[in-house]
Amino acid sequence: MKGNSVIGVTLGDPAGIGPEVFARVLDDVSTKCEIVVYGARWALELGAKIAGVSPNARYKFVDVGIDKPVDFELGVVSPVCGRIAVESVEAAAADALSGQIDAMMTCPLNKEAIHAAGYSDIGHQEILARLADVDATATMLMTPGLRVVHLSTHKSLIEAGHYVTRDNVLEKIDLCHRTLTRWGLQRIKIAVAALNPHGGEGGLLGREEIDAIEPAVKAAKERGIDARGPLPADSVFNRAIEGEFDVVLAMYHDQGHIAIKVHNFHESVTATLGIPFVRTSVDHGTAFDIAGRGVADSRGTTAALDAALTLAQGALSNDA
Amino acid sequence: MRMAVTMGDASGVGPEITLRCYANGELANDVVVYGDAAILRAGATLLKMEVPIHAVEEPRQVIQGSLNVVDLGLLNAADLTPGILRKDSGAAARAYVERATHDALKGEVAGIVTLPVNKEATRMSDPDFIGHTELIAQLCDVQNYSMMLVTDDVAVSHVSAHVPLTEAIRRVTKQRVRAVIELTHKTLSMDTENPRIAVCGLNPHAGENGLFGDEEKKFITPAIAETVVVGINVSGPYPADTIFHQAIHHNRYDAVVCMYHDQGHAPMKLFDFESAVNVTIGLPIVRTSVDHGTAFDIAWKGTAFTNSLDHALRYARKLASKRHSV
Repeated sequence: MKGNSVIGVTLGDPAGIGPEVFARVLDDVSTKCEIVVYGARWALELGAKIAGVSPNARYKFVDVGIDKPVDFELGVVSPVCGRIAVESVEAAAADALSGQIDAMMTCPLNKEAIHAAGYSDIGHQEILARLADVDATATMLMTPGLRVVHLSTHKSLIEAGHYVTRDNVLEKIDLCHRTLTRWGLQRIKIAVAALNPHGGEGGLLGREEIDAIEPAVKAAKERGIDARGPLPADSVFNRAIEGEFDVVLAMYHDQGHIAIKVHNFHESVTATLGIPFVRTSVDHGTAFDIAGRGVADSRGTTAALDAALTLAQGALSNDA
Repeated sequence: MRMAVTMGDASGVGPEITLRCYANGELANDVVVYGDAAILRAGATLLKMEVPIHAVEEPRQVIQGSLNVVDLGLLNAADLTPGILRKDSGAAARAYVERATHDALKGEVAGIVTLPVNKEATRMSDPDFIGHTELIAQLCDVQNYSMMLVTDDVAVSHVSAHVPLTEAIRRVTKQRVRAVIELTHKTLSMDTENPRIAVCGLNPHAGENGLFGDEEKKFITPAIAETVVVGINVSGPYPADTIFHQAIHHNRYDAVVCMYHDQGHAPMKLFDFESAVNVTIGLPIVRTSVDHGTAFDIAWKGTAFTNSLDHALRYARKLASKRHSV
């Protein structure tokens, strides 16, 4: 392996908890990686002050060069802060695409702020898909003991239900298998969750299992992928936690998010599948209500940084 | 206060759990089993247990010092075939529930606790059978009921249960959400003053202001507003992925109202697989159930967990005693 991995970190929205939480993480960072921070320097300085730390870890800084707005206030939506957040992600993604950094970890941005700044993206994943020019992405949530990939995320439940087709499910099983193999898992066992209660009970409680999920699992098996399902959503996560599966493919946002957050609320990490570089993120938002108070929990951010390093090195383990 | 326990499918773990609970002294003298005495006698022999079984025709004929069984006489000793899917045992399991429900409606028993039926077996004679909850509600002639799961930490009720997800979405109406909030409030009020109720959204991030669906704005928020007006301590809609953590680890809520089956069942099974009790709220009778199935693979081997019957009985007694004292 070449020397230390280089992890790019975007600070997110300066009015949120991203900079203060990351300042705290930076104060206690692993020596196994080099850090490049993307954002506004004033935001990190303010974050360090709020967190009460003066990080002396070595890191490079890529400043997007946007001044602090005169009317800046922590916890308040601002178009300038939205622009800083997006431009930080754009700069980091450009470096990831050109191979100057090995992975990126993003701190939260605020959807309203980026919309106020004139961007139409819903979040990081859409921005990154646009920059990398890909359309088949997926969100994985991971905590110690449980990994979940989502068939879809930001859709209403009715639209998410309509998205459950054989081709969509098969594409995500395949993406899941390819990506997790690259990240280090071996002989991956994929469980596919059902959409309907009790897995549809043979068609009595819905037909998507018979019409879409079963054919997709069958086709995946024919490609040599160890996929199982559809399995009822109220037991498949227990089985994965007990070690029967390496990853669960959830059919909609809350199906996967509920399981992850019930299992381990504070250490869940997001990773994006389907883009040509590693990107992880903490699984919470800007938390404007507590920004600036120095009380935000930094466990998730530490976990996200560790995960970025693990995935960049292809060192994900079936047992973790 | 007599409590009915329906023994469930003879091929499954229900009758075995009944016998073992009795032998362990966990079934008080107030319990009367609805089932087949022949199966219980043959089962006791199979498990090498000595259980005095007293068959009766009416629950009021129970005697002390025996396991009393309202004997429907549908199955014989030879019909005890552990783990085998059978039309006759499926039909019998349904019949025990029907009889117990009628006796509860007449006031002969104070409540019913059901042990598992095997749906596949019961459907061999009743193709429309969905489950206990739906059958009992139909026998009671009630449409406005809800399935609630209860543990020591939290209660979770459901706007819909055994329907396809697309149908569950259609059932999220203002009237229905309001009804389930009210039923939840009424049930919890029996032992908690002014219970704190959280209502889940249907869509991711509870719809994020209409960005991912409008059922929250159109139906759920107005239903909450109406129930707040009548004095219920209810709030929401909250994103379903964070509310359980708030309810359980931070003890912020006593109950969570869920919009569909898996929204409530998945987290409850992740939190507390063993001790959840299933309660049907909104019925004119008390009905609870164990939260597991027939487990044909381990039936009659003497290994099935018996705790959940104890939990289900305790909750049924609690509901029944409150009902009587009102």
